[in-house]
Amino acid sequence: MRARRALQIVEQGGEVSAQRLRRPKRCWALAGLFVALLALLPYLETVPVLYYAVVFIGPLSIAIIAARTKRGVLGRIKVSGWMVLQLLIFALIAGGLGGASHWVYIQQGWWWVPLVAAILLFTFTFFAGMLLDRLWARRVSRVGA
Amino acid sequence: MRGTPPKLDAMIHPIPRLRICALLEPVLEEEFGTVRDLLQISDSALSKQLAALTDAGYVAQRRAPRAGKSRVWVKLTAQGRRAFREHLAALSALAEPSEDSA
Repeated sequence: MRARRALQIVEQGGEVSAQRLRRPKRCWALAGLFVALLALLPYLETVPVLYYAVVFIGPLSIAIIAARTKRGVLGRIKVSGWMVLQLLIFALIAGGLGGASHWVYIQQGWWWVPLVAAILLFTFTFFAGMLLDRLWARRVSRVGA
Repeated sequence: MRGTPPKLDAMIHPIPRLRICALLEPVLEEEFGTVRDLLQISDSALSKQLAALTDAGYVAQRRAPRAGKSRVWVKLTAQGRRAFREHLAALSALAEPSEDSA
């Protein structure tokens, strides 16, 4: 049946898109490292040069690397409301965790809190980022979505 | 109550054009070279199919730099997206009865 064959071809195209729209793992590792570095900022407060280097040069480096690498699913698709919501939740969790660790470190003086927060944030960014990326790529590539 | 059944679109129906539309549908736009590589066809074959789709108003092309080089970017127009979805709906409607008889 030609109609079924044509539909199969379209579905194959969707599968190809779902694969090609995903960012490589190293991008999420890089994003995770950056977020983890932000969580370690409390340690750097006594060294202003390093502190401002992380705060200003870090995002700049990420932006330059992102601009030079292949675009992922974000930037190539029309971002829907629920995607923005997911991104906001992602940012809120990361920001909340980072902020809480900073606060506890200052209030309680527990030196290990930013370190634990950094590890948690790296893991969260790496896995949640990959999951979101994969989810969005699959969703937009769905035939007739 | 059912509306008018979707019709097959003769412009999209040829397999190479169907594949082009399927690749362009999820994205805002795609680079000519990427489409060519994914479809594994020559520049001229892709240009020919894109020209037909562009003439029908289904595809738009523009030139823009990327990594210092001028490249052609291709995208499905709103009309093209609509036509592609209607074509898919028509294909699905055609495929459905055959499943019963299979």
